[in-house]
Amino acid sequence: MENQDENRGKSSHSGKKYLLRLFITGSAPRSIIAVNNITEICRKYPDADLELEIVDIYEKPEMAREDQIIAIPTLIRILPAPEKRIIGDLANTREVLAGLGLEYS
Amino acid sequence: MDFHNLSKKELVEELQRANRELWESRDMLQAIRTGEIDAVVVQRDGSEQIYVLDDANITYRKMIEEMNEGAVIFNPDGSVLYCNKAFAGMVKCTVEEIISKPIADFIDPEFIELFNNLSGSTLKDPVRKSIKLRPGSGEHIPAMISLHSIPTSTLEAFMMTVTDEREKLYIKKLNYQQAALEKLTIKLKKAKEEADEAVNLLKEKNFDYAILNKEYVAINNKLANANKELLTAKKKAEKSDHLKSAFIANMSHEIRTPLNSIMGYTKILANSAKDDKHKKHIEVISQSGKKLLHLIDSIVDLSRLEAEEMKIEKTVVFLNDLMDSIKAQFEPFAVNREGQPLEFRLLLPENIKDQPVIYADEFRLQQIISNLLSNAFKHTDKGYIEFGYKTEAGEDKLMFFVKDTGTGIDKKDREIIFNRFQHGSNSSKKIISGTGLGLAISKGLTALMGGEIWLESEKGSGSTFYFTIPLNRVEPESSLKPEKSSISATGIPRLAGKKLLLSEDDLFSREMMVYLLEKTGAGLFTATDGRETLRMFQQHGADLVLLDIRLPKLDGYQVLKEIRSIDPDTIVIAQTAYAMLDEVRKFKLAGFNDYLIKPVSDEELYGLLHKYLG
Repeated sequence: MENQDENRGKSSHSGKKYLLRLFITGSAPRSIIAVNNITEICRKYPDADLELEIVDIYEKPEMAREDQIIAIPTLIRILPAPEKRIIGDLANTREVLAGLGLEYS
Repeated sequence: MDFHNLSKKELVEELQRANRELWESRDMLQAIRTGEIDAVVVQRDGSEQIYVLDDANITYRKMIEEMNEGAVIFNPDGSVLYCNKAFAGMVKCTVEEIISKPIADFIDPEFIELFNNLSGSTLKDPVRKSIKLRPGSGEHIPAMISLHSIPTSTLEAFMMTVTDEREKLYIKKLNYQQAALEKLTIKLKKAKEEADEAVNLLKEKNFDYAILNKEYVAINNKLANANKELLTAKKKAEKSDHLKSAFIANMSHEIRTPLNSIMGYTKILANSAKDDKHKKHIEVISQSGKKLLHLIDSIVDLSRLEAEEMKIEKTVVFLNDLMDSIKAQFEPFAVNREGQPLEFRLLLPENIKDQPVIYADEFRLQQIISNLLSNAFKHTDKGYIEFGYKTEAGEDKLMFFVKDTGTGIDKKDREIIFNRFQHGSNSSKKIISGTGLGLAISKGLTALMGGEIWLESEKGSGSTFYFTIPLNRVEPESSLKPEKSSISATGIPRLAGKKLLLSEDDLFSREMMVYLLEKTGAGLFTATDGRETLRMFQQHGADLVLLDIRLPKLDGYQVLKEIRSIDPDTIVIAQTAYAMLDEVRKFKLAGFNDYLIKPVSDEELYGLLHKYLG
């Protein structure tokens, strides 16, 4: 599995720092699926400098205001700029990767 | 926004941003429209309102989120997709810190195996298991988990509920402790009961002890009484022993006194015997009397030795002279029972020129040798008897011996013959006369003198008795040979013109003495008690007084004292029974000139008279 990951992880984005923030609402089904999908993606790019932050808006509602979040789940790419947002359970991996600026391998 | 002030580049950038937001808003609208979201956040009055969509099954979700049990959802890779607050609390992290992390991060490594390679196919049935959680900090937490697979079309995942077992274990522990405590309490109670019982028993025992103690005291008292009685009995016994000694001494005196007369008159009769027949009869009486006298002397000696009252009186002894006189004394007995002569030899050491002059109790020394010789003669029918002494240069003792070729003595008898009244067992073969006291007395005397006595014997070929005494030589200057006793028979002294005073309470003794004294031709006065003696002396005076020690009314010592106060030069001779021999020293101290031991023989009496009045 690690070997496969390695092959997949070889990409041009190495060296860039990615800071992702996922807003969820507890155990809601799409939130869970969103977590599942983004962790899958992160696992596929072990070499990428990816930092994922999970924010439960039940726990920290004030974070929603700061980031002007309207729908949950929402994934924000904070770094690299410019900021990008993806709404929903992140099931469409191609779309997510494109949105995040990661090359699909 | 005022776009007029912006540069062309800035305007392009602003346009791109607006375009992006437009697309994002369109996507959001699309997502909301297609139901791809769980909730919508609306800003109202400065706070956030979260609107959850209907299909999210809010009731059950709320229950899971708020329940006290931990709830975790993770995918086949082990990434946590969801956890509730309870679980976050157990592992001491926030919910956000846990979500997206590997579940293995929060499980004790010992139990990780369970979470590897999980899939819907491997986990058809729920798994319940006790594991340990690994919190971010602190001790690992025991927990009961229940693991399920969640089969949904959209997601393959696993759900786990976690029960903190700390409390349960704590309670279990508490219960255990409680149980232990209860057990302990029961034990304690039992122990207390036992203790109480023991105390009660002790109380009862104490009572028993009291009784025992009473008995003990009673026994003790009895013992004390018994002891007292024993002591009294002992004193009595001692007293009786003393009485026995006194009795023997008295009896001896009482027997000797008539014996004195018997022997005296027998001698007188012998001189006037009409024919040989009469002479023989008188000889038998004389011999029997002598034997009787010897027996009494022996008994007295032994009782004294046993009572440790025997005293040793040392004088200067010319040893060879003593041996010669003993030889002469026994010469007449050197015949066997058939009248055949026995060889009888005195062996004196040849290696010394001058005869030894020693300090010793001559009388007792002679007594021992005589005892041994009489035994030798009694037991020897053929062969010889020889006796003598040996002394080795440098030795500090003299060894005497008496050897015979008689019957000999059995090994088993060699020890006992020194006991009193014991004859050797072989004595039945030959009629042996004797008191059985001779050897016992000899042993006692040698011991008293500081020597030893023993024997060598072979059954059938004779015995040799040995005894030793310490050798105390007398320095040559002081060993002037004394004048031989005037006891030597020079006949009846002629004492006409002399006045003799005889003091004797026993009639027969007195009459015998009178008979002997009248032959001297001296003037004779007699008295029967102390007072009379003194009165006679005051009335008539006397050249020589024969004074009995045991006199009625006034004893011999008191009479002597009075006589000396009247005339210090009067010769006063003490008469004493053999039993009073110890008093000899006292006589000299008291001032008697000399003494006579009763029964008095004519030779002795006349010897003394020659000595003092001749």
